[in-house]
Amino acid sequence: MKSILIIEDQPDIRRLIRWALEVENYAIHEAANGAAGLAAARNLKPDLVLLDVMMPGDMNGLQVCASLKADPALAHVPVVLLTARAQDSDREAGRKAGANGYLVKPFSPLVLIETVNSLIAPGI
Amino acid sequence: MNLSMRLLPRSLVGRVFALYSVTLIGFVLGGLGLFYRYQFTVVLEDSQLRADTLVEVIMPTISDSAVIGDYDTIHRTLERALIHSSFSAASFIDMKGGTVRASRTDPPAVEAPGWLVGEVASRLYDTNQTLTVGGRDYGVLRLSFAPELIAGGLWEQTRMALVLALFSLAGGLLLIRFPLVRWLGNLGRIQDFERAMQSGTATPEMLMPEDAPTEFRATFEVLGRTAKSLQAQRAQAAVTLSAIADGVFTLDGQGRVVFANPAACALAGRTLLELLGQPAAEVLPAVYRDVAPLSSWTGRRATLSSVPGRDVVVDTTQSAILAPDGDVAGHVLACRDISEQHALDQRLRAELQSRATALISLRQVLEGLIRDTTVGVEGTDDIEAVSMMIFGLVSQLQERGEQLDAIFALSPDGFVSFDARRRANYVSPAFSRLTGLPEAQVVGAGEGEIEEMLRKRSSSTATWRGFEAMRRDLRDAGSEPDPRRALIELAWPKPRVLEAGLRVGTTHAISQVLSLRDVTHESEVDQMKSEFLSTAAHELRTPMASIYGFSELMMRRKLSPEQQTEVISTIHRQSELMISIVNELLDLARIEARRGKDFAFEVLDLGTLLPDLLGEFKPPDERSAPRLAPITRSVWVRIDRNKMRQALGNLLVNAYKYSPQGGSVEVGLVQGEDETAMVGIEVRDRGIGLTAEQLARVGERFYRADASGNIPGTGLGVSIVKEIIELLGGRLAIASEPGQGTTVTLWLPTSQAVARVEAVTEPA
Repeated sequence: MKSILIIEDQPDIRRLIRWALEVENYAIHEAANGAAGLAAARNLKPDLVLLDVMMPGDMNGLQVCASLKADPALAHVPVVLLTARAQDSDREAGRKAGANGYLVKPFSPLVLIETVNSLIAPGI
Repeated sequence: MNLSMRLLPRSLVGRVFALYSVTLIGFVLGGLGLFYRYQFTVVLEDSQLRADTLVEVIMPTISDSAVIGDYDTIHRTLERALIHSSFSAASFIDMKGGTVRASRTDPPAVEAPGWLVGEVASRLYDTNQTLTVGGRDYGVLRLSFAPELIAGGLWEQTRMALVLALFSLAGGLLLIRFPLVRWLGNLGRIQDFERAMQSGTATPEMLMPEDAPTEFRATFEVLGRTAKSLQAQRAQAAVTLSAIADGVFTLDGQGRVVFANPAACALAGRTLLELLGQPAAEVLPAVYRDVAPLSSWTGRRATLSSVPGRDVVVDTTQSAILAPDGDVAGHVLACRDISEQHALDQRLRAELQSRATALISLRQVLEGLIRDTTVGVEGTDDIEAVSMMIFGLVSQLQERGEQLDAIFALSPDGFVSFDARRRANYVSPAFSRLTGLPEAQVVGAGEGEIEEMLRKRSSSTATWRGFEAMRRDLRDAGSEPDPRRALIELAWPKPRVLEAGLRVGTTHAISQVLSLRDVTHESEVDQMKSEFLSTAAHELRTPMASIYGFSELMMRRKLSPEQQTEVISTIHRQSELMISIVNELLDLARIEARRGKDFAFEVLDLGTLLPDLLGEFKPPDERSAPRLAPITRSVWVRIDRNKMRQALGNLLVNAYKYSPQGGSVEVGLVQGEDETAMVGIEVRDRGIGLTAEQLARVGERFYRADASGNIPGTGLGVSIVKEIIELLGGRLAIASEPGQGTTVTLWLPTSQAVARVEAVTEPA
């Protein structure tokens, strides 16, 4: 079973994602801020990371993404950014940070599932 | 006296000789006179004595003869007596009157002049001797003198004496003449010397004869020395005259040239020898054209054409040479060649003429320029008029310059103007202030250098495109008023955002002007606005994400009833959050837009207001109402009651929210340090508190101290409180310790203080 790490400060959103993806047979892990998320990613070596961009704390999503991509052990892990920022410059910043997908809040859970499935095949 | 003086010979030799002659003649004549006189007396006495003696001698013979009457003997005796005597006649007169007379008839040997004969005759008287023999008179013997004989003898002697005197006189004069002429004649050498001096061959030895008397030697030595120095002076004068460039003619009393120096000869175009003795008026006709030749003048100008090849303009001065007696002995004519000066004068005159013309045209130009202004300049003096007009223009320009300076100095925008070669020729103070580039560094720099200076100070993220690009933009924009905005983001000396504008000048002096406007604040505000918008959007999108996502999930999925309940409560909660965000955003927007203009100010007593406001506040479920410390006095403040309720409500909500473990919320009044000026409404909780870092960001829009998401909120509450309290004239103060709780104080000016502030700001 493939594992997905959700790094998101809003508990409601985390729950929404969990409920959306649980039925697709993914193991879901959660982290509430960037630093905790990065640590969890290094521990869990997830197959995909869903990453909120605007988070309180020292690290925002873009920095977490860049750190993940800079880590050789995690560089291959696809990262999907979840963000309320939808301008071209924000997408560009995400691409620069190495993100593999970009979902703008509010997002459709179905689109989320499609995106995740397109990046990693649902687990066995 | 005068006559005798006039009779005196002129020369010294003549005078001495005359004196000597007169003296000698005097002596000789005196001697002669005395001799004559003596001789005269002696001869006469002698004659008288001889007569007496003769009478005595012949008397006996006569008396004998008379007695006997021998008259012949008497006659013979008388005749004998007369021979070789000085008597003319001898006679014997007897008593009867008979006379025996003998006389001489021979003429005297020397004929004496009549006067002398008369003189002698008057002195001699006839000798009469009475002949008495034996007491009886026989007659009288009479002897008559012959004065012609005596005078003739005297005259002869006198003539001899005269001849001798004349001989001695002539001999004496001859004898004296030789030494006189020989010694006094030395003085004559002076004339020779003078001639020698004039011909320039004189030597002092000429005045040193061996045989000159001592007095003359001394005199001659003095003369020699004087002559020597005179000669030296002459030589000096001659050298000077030949050395000077001015022509000098010396003229005699008749205006004839007696000397001319080489320059003068050159001016006259003749040699000195040709010039000497020529009348000056003939030599230099141009000089004497309309002036009397024997007058004095200075500074007359004449043009001489006597020099071959060119006309010489001379400045002439003629001065009289005055002899000691005041007579004019001659003139000196000095001619200075002022041809060059004259030419210069001519040029200067021409120059002045052209200047005057230029001045007139300048004046016309200036009058054209100055016509618009009120400075009316009348007058014929061009220079004065022109300088007055220039003065007027300059003062206008100065005024304009001062105005511009003041405008540029006061203008917050910076300007640099460039000359035709695109070098900066003016830098406004604001430019230096904005860019930190000193004026001295910028003025004179080319546009490339300035571009480089600005680039060096720019942040690396956004680079300015430079002059060339801006000019291209200007060209491309054509008639459009505002081409692309060119921003320069300076990192140093202070982060600034400058909007650069380029205008191409139309005059020769100004090819282009670069203006820099400080848009730091605008761009900060812009950035803040866009950040605020995106933050607000994010904040709205977050609850929308839950609502949208969960509702879709509910539509698409079969959810358990528990899940459904949870989804619906989540949707409801997130909707509530959205509503409050929207409300608070609207609040904030309204407050910001109206800047307190919609505030209904009234003077209220906090002592009664606070209990009312706390009473209206509804604490969260299961929480105790906020506790109000008792207020014992009236504290008047000028506030808007509703805004105050909103602000206090927000603070109370936060106090409850951030003390999730419970604990009381206390409200009280505190007095400011200044007894009456400020009063503080303190809201204190015992909640989670804030770190120093969080404390610094409280009040930022959408800033949430709770990062866990467990405490709902918009992050706008404190922002709204801050806006309100500041519009009420107060300020917000927050003190907090993590884990200990937070105390927020709303400081408000008391009513007296408000009144005082208003009194100060509005004195009317």
